[in-house]
Amino acid sequence: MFEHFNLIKDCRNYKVKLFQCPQFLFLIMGLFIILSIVSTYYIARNYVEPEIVALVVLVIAAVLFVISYVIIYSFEQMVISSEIKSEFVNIMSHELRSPLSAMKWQLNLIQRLKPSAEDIIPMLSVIEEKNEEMIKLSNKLLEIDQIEDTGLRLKPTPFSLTKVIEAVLKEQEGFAYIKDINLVKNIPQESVFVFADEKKIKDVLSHMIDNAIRYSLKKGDVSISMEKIPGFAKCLIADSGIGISTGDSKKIFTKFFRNQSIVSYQTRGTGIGLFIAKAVIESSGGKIGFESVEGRGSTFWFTVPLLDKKHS
Amino acid sequence: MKKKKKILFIEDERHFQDMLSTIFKDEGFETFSAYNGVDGVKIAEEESPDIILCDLVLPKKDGFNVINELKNNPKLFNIPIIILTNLEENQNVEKVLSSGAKMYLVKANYTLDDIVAKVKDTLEINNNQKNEG
Repeated sequence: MFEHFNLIKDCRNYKVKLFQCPQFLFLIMGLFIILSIVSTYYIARNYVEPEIVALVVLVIAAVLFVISYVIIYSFEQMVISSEIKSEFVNIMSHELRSPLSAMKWQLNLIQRLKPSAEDIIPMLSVIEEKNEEMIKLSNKLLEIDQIEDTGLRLKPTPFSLTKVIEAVLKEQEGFAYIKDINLVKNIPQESVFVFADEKKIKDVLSHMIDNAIRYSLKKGDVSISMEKIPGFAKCLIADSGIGISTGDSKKIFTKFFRNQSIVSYQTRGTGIGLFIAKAVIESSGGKIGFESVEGRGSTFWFTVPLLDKKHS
Repeated sequence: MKKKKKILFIEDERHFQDMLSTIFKDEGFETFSAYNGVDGVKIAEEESPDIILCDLVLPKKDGFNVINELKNNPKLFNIPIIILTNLEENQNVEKVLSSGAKMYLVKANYTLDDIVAKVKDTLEINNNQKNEG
């Protein structure tokens, strides 16, 4: 029976701080009310002046008001997190359905058309690609859980950021071509060595360039530049896309955020890429940010520590 | 020779476009593809298809606006539209059906054969209504 009264355990389960946990706050309020009644009785017996009693009651009312406000605030936070959760379920079901239905249709076509060994290869490669998409999505979900639970586990090594940018640009060429986007590169000829988790930095870069292409209007430019600043390498990805409204700009790095214009401009996006990007860059010792003008485009940037003598 | 039925797909994902074209060509349809809402309306005006399969989330002009535009066009308002998407919020279903779409199909819940069957049924119902009218 007493396990129901284990407040600390309950609050830990809700993943909220003790002072944001309704059970704890109700307990405090209950204790305070009892204390107030006893002390009001004591004061009323010893100090007969009504002003003093009124003052005490006023103070008690003020404290109860503050506690009630904190309870309401905590409740609001829980409602928001429940809304985020249901938005998450919506986004994820769409993101999973897309590759799953592509696989289902492709298998249906194979069964129906019974293609030759040669013709079946491109059909199987669609299934392979969609399967890979789902694996990447599940990896991202695990990464989110890691960020919120124990923090990201990075494996920093020295690597050439120049080469990683080149590799990502090559991977994105096809997508840029389909969207009629011109990729403009402005990076140093020589290798710029940094010290960070190569795979994760590559994912960040990939996500930012993918976003820039995705949100660009037809026949726009996406420019990728890199420069050395004291102690860091700074990457900038600029697009001539739809931009970000002032209202949205505060939420851009939060979990499950997607641009308001998403229905009109793109089909995909889980709203977790920039959240992960921020965690990766900040855990690597760098900074991340953006400048944007709605309707004219955005420039996202991040910094990564240059390779120093200690790690080289 | 019987005239081929024309079908237009307004769908921005290449894989889905390719698969729909393959199966409907195999079924004897003449197929047209638009990768965004603006091109979708344009091709509908040029080709006057017998039926349109349209996604909801589309570049340039979303599916809701495509339906509205087609239904407000005196030349095109009779073309049956089937929504084919992976979004399944109730308010979307109600909104598109009240705007004049004939059907709301969730891609993941149907095989291509099912979709072919739905398209044929819709064309038959539409044809019967025309003859009765």
